[in-house]
Amino acid sequence: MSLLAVENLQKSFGGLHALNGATFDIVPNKINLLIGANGSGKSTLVNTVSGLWAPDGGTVTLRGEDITGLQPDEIFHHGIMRTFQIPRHFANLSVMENMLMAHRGPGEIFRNALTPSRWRHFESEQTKKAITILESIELAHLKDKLSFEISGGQIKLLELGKTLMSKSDIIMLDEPIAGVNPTLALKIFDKIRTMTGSGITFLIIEHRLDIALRYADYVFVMHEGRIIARDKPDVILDNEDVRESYLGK
Amino acid sequence: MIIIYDGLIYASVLAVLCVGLTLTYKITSVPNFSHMAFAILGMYMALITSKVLGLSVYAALPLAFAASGLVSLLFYLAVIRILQKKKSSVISLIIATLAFDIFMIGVLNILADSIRNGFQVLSRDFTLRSTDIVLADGLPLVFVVSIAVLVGLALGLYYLLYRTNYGMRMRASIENETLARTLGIDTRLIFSMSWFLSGGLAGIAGVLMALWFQGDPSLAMIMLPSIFAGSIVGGFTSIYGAILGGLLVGLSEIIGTTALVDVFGYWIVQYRPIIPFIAMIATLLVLPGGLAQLVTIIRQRRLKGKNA
Repeated sequence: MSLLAVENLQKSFGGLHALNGATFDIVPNKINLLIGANGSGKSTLVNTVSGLWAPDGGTVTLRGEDITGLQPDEIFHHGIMRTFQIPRHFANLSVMENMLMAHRGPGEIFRNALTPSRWRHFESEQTKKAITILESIELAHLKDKLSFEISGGQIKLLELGKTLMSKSDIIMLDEPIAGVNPTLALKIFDKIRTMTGSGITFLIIEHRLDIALRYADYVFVMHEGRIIARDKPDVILDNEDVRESYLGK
Repeated sequence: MIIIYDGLIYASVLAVLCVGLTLTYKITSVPNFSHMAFAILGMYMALITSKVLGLSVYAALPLAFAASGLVSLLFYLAVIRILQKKKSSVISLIIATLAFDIFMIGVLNILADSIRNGFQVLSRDFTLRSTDIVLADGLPLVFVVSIAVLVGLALGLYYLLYRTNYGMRMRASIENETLARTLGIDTRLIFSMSWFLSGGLAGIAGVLMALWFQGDPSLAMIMLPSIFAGSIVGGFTSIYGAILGGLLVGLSEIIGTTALVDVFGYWIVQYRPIIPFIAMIATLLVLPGGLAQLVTIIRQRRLKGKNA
């Protein structure tokens, strides 16, 4: 049984077929790199799989269970987390609170808000975990800062920290190193590489192939709403169709 | 003394109403023109509890909270959420709330007539002031209770929003709904809760009003400018702004009207809404972000001072 399988996914906006029968099977515990020209449907694919947009047709299955068209919060609780191309964070919440928000656990309910004994223990546990993660990504000293006060690079790191916090099995990153300096970009991918070692599967959209291809285990190429190739990086680079449609050589 | 009671009871009740109006605006971006109707429903719950069931008016507080909260929640689920799903503009949403206000006034009129016909109870321009408990020195209990409700509300909301995990999730959902949803938060539940809470608070405000002022379905339109004025003076985004705005507008309405009567004579009373309107216009012209904006400006100045 495959971990995450997408079958013939369709999504159009007016007359534009952003997804036109996208079909693929993610490779577990690996870095799956999704490439393709602008407008080829990469972000639409992530938005549809993560439940933000309902697909017009096709199916998404997680370990054989049909999760097509579920709401984003339900998808998250199934163990799939995603980030956004332009990093999104809660600007008026502290770095620590942003981390705590990403925790995937028994959903906090209103009734419990009034009885601190029900969540206080649980919360201090989460806080400890968040501090450990923040230390590993070198953000621990900023934990009490409101997140609009930290730099763009630090926000990218925070996004990664949130994915660690979520304990998700599948993480979809939309351009994790866009606009990030090369040193930090390498650091981010190193971290991703270690995470795959602990059983996390990544689906990453990235345009900076110079760095991303060094780390990718498998590459999926998207063209006009379809996956046209899937293979190891070196094979993909030799593929005629891919060169033509994406690399333009 | 009477002007102090009038002023503070009215101002506290108004502040509670402004908090509810600001809450649903901040959380679901709907300026709810039917908000006052939930308060009038609370007033009639007070009348029924006191005159029909023969209980203490204060027993109506939980009843009004539940009844107004449920009506508000149903309105949100059956109308607002569907319109929002269809990406309706704010104008359409406002018109929907206005329509619901008119509908509710009709329902409340039917309710008022049914109470009169069924139980021979005065149900228009009624007041339950005489049923209230009088403490030492002629101090009415509603005076103490309305201030206590407001203080309790301010502390309770602070605790809920800033000291609990649920509150953190609420703040996150307000700030970025999409992101909150992709982090597993059922924002639909949080939005529904905010409508229930907002309606419930209005119901409580209605019970308190019935204990000091005159209740009538027509108040649903008459008091609307005041609660919008209070919320706008507060900035329409901040709970604490709403409390301050409501208190300010409420007090100036009572004190201002009394002063105007002294100068111009009693005929001026019917022009009382001019005071909230002036407050609203002045705020929008001078400080569009209201008191909340003022706080931000002061904070930024202080930060600059620190950095310099």
